[in-house]
Amino acid sequence: MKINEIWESVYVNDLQRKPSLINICSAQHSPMLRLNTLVRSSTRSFSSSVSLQAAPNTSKTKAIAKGFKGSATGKKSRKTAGSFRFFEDHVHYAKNREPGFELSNLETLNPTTLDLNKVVSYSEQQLQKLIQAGSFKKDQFHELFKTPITLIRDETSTMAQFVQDIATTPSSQNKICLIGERGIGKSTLLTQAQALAISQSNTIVIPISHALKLVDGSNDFFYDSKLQTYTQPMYLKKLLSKIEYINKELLSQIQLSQDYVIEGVTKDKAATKFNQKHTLSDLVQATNLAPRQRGRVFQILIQELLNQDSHPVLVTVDNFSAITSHPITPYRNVENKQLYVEELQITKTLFQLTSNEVSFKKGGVILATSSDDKPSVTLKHGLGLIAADPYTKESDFNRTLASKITTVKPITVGKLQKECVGKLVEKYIEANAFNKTELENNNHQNLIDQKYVLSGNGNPLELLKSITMYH
Amino acid sequence: MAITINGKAFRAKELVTFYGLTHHDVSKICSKLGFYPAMRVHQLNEQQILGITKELADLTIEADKRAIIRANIALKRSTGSYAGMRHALGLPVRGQRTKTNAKTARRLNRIERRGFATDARAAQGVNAIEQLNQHLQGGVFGGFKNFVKALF
Repeated sequence: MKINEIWESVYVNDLQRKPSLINICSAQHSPMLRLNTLVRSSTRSFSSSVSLQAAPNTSKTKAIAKGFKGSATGKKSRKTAGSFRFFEDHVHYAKNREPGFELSNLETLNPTTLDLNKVVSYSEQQLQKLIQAGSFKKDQFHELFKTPITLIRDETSTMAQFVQDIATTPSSQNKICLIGERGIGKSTLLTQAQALAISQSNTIVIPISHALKLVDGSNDFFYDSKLQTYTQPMYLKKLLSKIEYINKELLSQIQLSQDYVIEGVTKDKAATKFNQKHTLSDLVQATNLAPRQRGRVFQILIQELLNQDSHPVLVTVDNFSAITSHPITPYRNVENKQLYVEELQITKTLFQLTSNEVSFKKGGVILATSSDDKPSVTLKHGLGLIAADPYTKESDFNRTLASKITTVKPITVGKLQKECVGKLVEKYIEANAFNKTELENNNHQNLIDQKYVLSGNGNPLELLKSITMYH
Repeated sequence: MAITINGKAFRAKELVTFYGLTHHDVSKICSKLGFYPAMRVHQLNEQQILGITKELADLTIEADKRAIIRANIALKRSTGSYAGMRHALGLPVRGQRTKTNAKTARRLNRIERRGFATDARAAQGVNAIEQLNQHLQGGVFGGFKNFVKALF
């Protein structure tokens, strides 16, 4: 799908939502101009002139505005059904969109050669696994390029060191939390750490890409009386398939340390048995298990990974702040009381890892916060960044959760230096991300100076917005 | 009262809006049956729908609830209380002004009080549970993909 068509479908959908706008902007312009008119019509101008919305009158484009296009026979056919997505969702999920620009001569992210301030891409193996892990988010502007690119910055070497450390030391000693302002690159650094771990070839990665989904009530749940916790089968299905895809070869190398029997959902259903000849791969791939048995599978998987010491295990949690911001979830038990995060199986396991209640013999935990979540005292107090006021309300500060992340080391992700901004700007110029007039009116150095200021002195997301939103 | 079953659009908690059923009641039913917060109507299986029916059967809603309200008003009228008289006159009961407004009282406070937002079938005392069952058997819940609007 071309970008113009995307604009049109979004625009048409807007018209469907606001039929009155059909009269205001008669949709005679090009899609981009029509969108401008739409935006302008939503705000009141100082002048009473309607010249902004005036348009040359042709009937063809008017039909497009209503979702139809004229054909040669004069018969109207439906052009698009409109879109229920926002623009950025549309760009991210559209299957037929034009591929982005492919940068040539880019090296791949390699733990052995980490040259500072260098733009690199991911290797094919890393890329496939990272896509499956959900590491590339929709608001990161990866659509600009055919394959995602990334910048090696100061913190990347910290990540590389961390990934090296997890190969030899227990996870109780390797727990970090990436913090920083919105768009600064926390999730990108997390992705880099995952990529580095994947290229280590013997590290098992357990990716939780949207921690908010664990606690926002969007997944089904039930109380597993045998595990004495609430499990989330729908979420576990995705998580287990991710783990299986990313660590396929590694899981097949780890044999179960004991026999397990997963009892049937009902008494008349046969139990599923796993013996010591089976591997973790067999366990995760078992297709004859019912959704209700996934909680048990996850429990066995974690238990076995805790017992073994042949493979380091890296647990990554993006948007971790969602959990600390919502300790009381919208899920309710049969008595209609809201569930606490630690009553859910996956979050309980996460807090067991962060509080050293359990520890992988070799491994680590990387948490990344998100600025989208409500700022909570719990996280900052837990990480030792602030001391909570003793009179802070329970809704703002959960002491129990804070006490479980006290051993996690915070790593502040800083802004990019001007040199880094320069490197990125060069790549964006190469990828035709800049507006033509902007390029013609400025030389490179001038552009770098401008963009450094516009990006708020080195915020990567603001930098991208200042380039792409200029059009 | 209109009960709207709107395919994917509405969440389970907004599944049914019966007369006399509070949000708290709906929340309790959903929790008891183990529905997750973002669950949608089209995800309900037959057993779960029957579960809802069973829970609703134990509650005083629709015609039963209306009958109670009518009985309460009738009692006030029969005892000759001021509130009963105001009901009979079609005027506000609780000291509201009558020079202007009082639209609700004029609409509702009749000798035979009509239930709030009810229609003829409900006024006839058709049991809500029976209605739901009729619609279940009629396959209303089978057509979740389409917008289905059932008027009770």
